[in-house]
Amino acid sequence: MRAILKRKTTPVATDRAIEREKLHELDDGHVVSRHLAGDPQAFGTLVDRYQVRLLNFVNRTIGDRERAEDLVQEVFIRVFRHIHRFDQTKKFSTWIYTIASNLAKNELRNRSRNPLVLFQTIKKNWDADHRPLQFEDTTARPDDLYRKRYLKDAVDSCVKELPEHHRAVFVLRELEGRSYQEIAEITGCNLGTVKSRLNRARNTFAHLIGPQLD
Amino acid sequence: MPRMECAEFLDRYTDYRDGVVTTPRDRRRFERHLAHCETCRSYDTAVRRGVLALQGVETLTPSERFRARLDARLRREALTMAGPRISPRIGAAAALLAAVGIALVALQLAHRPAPLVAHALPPVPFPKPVAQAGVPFVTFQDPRAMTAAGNPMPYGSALVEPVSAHH
Repeated sequence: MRAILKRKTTPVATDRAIEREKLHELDDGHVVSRHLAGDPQAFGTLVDRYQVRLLNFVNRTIGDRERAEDLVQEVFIRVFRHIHRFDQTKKFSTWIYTIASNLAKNELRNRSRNPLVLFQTIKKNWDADHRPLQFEDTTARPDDLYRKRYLKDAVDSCVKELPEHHRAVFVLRELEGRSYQEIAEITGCNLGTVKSRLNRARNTFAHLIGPQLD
Repeated sequence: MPRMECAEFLDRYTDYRDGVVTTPRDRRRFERHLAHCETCRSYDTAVRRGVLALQGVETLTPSERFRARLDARLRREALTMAGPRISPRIGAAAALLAAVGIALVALQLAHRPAPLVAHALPPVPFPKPVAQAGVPFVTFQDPRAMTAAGNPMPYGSALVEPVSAHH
């Protein structure tokens, strides 16, 4: 009986896997079209593609991992709700990043009104500071581990110290590799503002990280 | 072409770093400045090494619950977007019930007895009100009446009859 069931279910599972593989090979625009045409797996492909990138982008912008996960969920819900309104002549990635950026901005705005949230974030960072070193990489030498850990914390805190507007532009350019035009669309600024913010962000970042690299 | 100063280097650094400086001559000016100016060189190094370190920082991955939670939310969202679904049986029953209701109302209207017609009664002459043409008696309270001796009316009231009433 089990054998029969196995024989019956395997081809279906394989078909699904093949279908999924095919979806992964398509670009975003085509996956969106497939979702709008009723393909049940298409939206999952978009989630697979963007969940990690968005989580890191939002986390870097707001500096709170758990809240970043909630916001990324909200991003996908909004995309799902309004995908029929997405202009398919434009880049999907720019659209989804714009939604994420707006949600992150709102979060920071709400936080400035409610300092308690900020305190909770600081507390979380304190906990992270006390994580034992042996969980990171047991194969490396302790001094390497310390240096790596120190540098990671240093660059992280330097990015957090950047003003909010500069930070978003800096992360989008240096970590996400977005073009000036895309950054302008995501942040809702003109190209000149993007360039000047990026220059200032790099300047501040260099001054903050410089002494710690020596 | 004038020699590049630190202010210009810092001002246009973003163009240089992002490869927007395309003319070889311009690029050479940047490179020459970097070769000679230690301050700008350390600035450039700090940006490059800092960004490399930042890129090397481990990438966060969503928690285990993330995808299950999202899928559940997406399913709920899909149901909400589709609107409330009525099964065909319930729909047919409701339509039948509505049809029976309409038929009953129509039947009731068809068999309704004609309304009774009331005969018109002859008009009754209404007596005209007659106004009393006399001067009225006026009653008032005189504050002195309380203390006045020999007041024929008790409780300070006085009944005053106008002179015109005797004519």
